[in-house]
Amino acid sequence: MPKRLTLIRGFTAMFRRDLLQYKKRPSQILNPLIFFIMISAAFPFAVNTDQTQLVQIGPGIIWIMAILSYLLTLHHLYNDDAEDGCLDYIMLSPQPLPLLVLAKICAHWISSGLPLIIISPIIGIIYQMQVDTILIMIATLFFGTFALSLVGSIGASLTISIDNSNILVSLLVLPIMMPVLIFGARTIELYQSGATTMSGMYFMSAYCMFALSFSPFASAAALRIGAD
Amino acid sequence: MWILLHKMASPKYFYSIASSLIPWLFISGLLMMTYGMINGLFYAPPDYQQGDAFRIIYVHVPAAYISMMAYSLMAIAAFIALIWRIKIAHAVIVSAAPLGAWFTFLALLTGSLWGRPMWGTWWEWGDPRLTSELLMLFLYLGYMALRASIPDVIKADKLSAILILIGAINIPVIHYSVEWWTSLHQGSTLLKSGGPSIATSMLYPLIASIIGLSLIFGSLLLIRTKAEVLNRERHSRWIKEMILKGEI
Amino acid sequence: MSNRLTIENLTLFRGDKCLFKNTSFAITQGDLLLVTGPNGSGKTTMLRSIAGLVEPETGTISWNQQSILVNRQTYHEDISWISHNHGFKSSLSILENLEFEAHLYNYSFDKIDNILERLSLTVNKNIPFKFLSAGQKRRASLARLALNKSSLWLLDEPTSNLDAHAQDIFKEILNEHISNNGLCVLATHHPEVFEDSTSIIELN
Repeated sequence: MPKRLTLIRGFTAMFRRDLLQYKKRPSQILNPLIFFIMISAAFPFAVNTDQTQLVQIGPGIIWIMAILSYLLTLHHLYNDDAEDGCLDYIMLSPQPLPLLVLAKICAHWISSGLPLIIISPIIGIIYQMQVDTILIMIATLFFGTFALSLVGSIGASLTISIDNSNILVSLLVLPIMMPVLIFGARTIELYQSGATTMSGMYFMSAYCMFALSFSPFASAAALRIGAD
Repeated sequence: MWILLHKMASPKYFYSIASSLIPWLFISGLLMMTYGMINGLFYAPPDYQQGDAFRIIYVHVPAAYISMMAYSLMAIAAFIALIWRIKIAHAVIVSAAPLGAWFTFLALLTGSLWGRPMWGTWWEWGDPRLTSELLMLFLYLGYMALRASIPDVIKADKLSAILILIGAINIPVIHYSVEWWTSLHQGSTLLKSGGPSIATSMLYPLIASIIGLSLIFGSLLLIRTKAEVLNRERHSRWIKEMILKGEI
Repeated sequence: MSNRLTIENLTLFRGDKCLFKNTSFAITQGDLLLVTGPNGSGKTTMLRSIAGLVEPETGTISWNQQSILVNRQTYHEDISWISHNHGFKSSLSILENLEFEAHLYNYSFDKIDNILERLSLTVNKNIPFKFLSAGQKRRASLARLALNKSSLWLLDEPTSNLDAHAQDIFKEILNEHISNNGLCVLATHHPEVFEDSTSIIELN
């Protein structure tokens, strides 16, 4: 007698399978991370700044680099499943598609976003940040990467059938991500100059909640339309 | 009016309505723009603070207004197209996008030219209204890029309609950015309780410019949509009949 | 209460090309419908539109008098889908893949060993999918049919890459399904293989 098909079963199964997929292809995660480290480290060489300037430009650069490297991971979200036909089975499942999409997004964030957040203190040190500033930076990147997973999922679902869609996904997702970028980088800068950071954090968490409420549904709708 | 709108969903009817509307819109738009330009550039008194530099308002404000209106139009059309499945709405979105993008660029350009004498800078990165208007240009460009990458027309229509709806959140952000954050831009001048806070001799040409440029935008939009409808319906019988009768 | 699939006035386009216009048909329990035609004639597209993956230009598809777009969940519970791509992750084994799908589709695993044995896959059930041959992959894909208790089978070229023996096994499975009041829509290049079909649609 089969167990009842519950939403939790569907969510956890999709989540675990995607995590397993990411684990079996470490280069998908490592390559963007290495890109993040290399380019962030290359900036001070190119721009040739002194210590104080480095501290000032640090937050913005780290945020931009984090977003750019994270955008590189997005195109694996649905394209791999589309290639081997798994996406059909995901869409034909009795489970609600937005739920499965949410599971995919969470798995993507855990396997691509968390490593980025963990690596970021190293970059923070390159940019001469204090320890407490680095903690603030980690907090902002936490919201930022999650928001980017959510919004990026919409971009990825719109561009499944397109070859080499990396740049296009970035083009579509960046305008929507700008507010988070602005608030994230500014929050770190504000902290460095001694002001309160709570408003920025509130904004970013509100943005994440808002994205969480519509992104799975928008992605599911885009997936169904693109299923031809 | 609802019957008219309902009929407009048919491409053939839309085509004939558009053909008859275009000359009216264009000429009345041209007339209003002429009035607005002449009065604004020559007869309105110089601003006590900015002197004659403020006159760029007669191009900048209409362009900015239209850039936002075009996107709102696209968002409403995207909603209509996706929910009620009215195909012609997709043609409207496709036609409106390049126009909206150009007006956004014009708004940014004229704003920049105005900012130099008024604020001392060509661009101000901290300003929320400038940033969100620039974002809107990117949204337009992103839409056009997405459309260009998907060869199948129906799929491209629906997917890019979703994209437009996602980006629609930017419109209230642009509009309320001067209220929510500190900005170099001044607050609302026209839509305030208590009436507009601008002298009537400057106000009337401004309103005329806004309306006039909107009418011209409307006529350009209808021209482009007509062409788009022709392209999409090229296999249908009513077009063949019109060609045979020499009406196209 | 017998299950019935009704297609009314179906028109499908692929790009600018019209695949078929205003097609109507219906099948009920015990029916096997073959869809044949040369490559590119729209067999896959028709199957995909019946599954609900592709939206037709005009027409309605109804399962038990209810449009399939109205309550997707109920419809999806009742269909099994087999396509060109196997829908299995290449780094996972057959068992791992099917276990994942079981949570999405509510498969029952009590007869899994019998099924794998019938399809000659017992030896390979724990090897990563990418190491299987084309025939083994196809057989693994077909294993789904026995796990799902659905009435409507939508099969796109299920016998491709199968040798004669495996084709016979598949036909046995298919006949069991049909005689148990199942329905099936099957797209194939070789309609002559399936002599017991109730009806045939030819697309060209």
